Amino acid sequence: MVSGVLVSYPFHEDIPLVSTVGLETVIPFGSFWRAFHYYTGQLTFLLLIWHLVEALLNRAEKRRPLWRWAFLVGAFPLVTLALFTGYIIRGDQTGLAAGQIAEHLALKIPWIGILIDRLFFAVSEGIHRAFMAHIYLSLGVLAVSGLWHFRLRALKAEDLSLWAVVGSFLALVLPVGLEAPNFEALLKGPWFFLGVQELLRHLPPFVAGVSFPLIPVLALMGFPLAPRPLALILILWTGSYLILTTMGAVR
Amino acid sequence: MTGGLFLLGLGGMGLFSVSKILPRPPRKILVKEELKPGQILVRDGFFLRLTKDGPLALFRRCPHLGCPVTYDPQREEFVCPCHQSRFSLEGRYLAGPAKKDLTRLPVKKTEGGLIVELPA
Repeated sequence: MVSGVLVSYPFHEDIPLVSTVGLETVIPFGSFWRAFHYYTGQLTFLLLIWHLVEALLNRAEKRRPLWRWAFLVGAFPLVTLALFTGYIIRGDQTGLAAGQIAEHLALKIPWIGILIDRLFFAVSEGIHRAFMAHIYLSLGVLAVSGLWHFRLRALKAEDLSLWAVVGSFLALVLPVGLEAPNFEALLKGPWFFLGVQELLRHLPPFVAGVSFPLIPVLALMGFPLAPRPLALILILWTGSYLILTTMGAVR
Repeated sequence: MTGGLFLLGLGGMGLFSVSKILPRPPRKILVKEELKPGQILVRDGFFLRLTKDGPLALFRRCPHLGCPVTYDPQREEFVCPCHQSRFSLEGRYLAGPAKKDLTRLPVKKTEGGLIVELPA
C-alpha cells in the first residue's frame, strides 16, 4: 500500500506505458519502488492464500456466522482483482491484452456485465477505470477486510518487516519487465491467470473465463454449509488449475 | 430544498452513467502515408494494405476476446498473441479459438489520404 502511494505520484493514467517507463528510468529509485510494489502485491496474494488454507485446516468457518465467513472470503476475489488491474495499468502489451480480455469476459456476464465492465475495466476508453479500481480495491481490502479483521488477528510489526525485507530482496534481484506494444506473437498473462488463459483456448469464454474462476469463490463462501463435498471440489479445482497453469507456462 | 438538490444530483449522476454506457460514435482515422503493394501498415486499431481490389483495412481486435492482433512476418499471417488464433492477410480465419474472420473496416479515399472508420 505504501509503495503504491509512492509509485502513483509519477504515474499518469493518460500515458500509462510512458509514465511507467519514466518511473523506471527517470525517477530516482523508481525502478526499485515499482518492483517492490509488484513483489509485495504478489506476496499479499500468496500470503492470503496461505492464510485461507490455514483457516480451512483449522475449521475457522465453524467459529463465525456464515455471512461473516463469506464476507472474509470476499477478500480473496478482491485481492485477485486488485492484482489483475495492476497488470492492466502498466499499459504494455500484456497489460493492454489483459484489459481487453477482462472487458470482453465482463461483458459476457448477463445483466450486470456492463456495470462490472464500467466499474473495473472499460479499457477500450483507456485505463482510467482500471487505475481507480486498483486504488479503491486495495483501499477496500485494507479498510473492510484488513482493519476490521486485524482486531481478531494482530498484524505484528516483525512479520510486516520480514515481508518488506523479502519484497526488497526480490525487487533488487529480479527486475519487473515491460513489453513494448505490437511485437510479441505469444503473450503470457499474469502467472495466476495462466490457467484461465489456457482454458480460454479450449472452451467458450463464459465457461472458461467466468464460470470456472467463480467455482472456488462460491465453494469457499458456502464452505460452512457442506464442508466435505466443497473441500473435494476445491481440491479438484486446484489440481486442475495447476495442470492448466503448467500447460500455459510451457507454451 | 435539500431533497431537490439530492434528486438533481441523483439525476445528474444517472444521466452521466447513461452517457457512459451508451455506445460511442465510430472514430475516423486519416492515413496520409502512400501505401506500396505488399506493404502492411500497422496502426493502433487496424491493419491497412493494398489489394487488387483497393485498400483493405482490418480491425486489430481478435474476434475471440478482443486482444490486439499482431503481424507475423515469418508466416505472413496475422496472429492473436493471447490465444494464438491465426488469420490470413485478407483477414480470413485460419486457426485457433476465434472461429471468425477479422472485421473489415470501411475505407474511403480522399484527396488528403485514406480515411479508416473504426467501430465504437
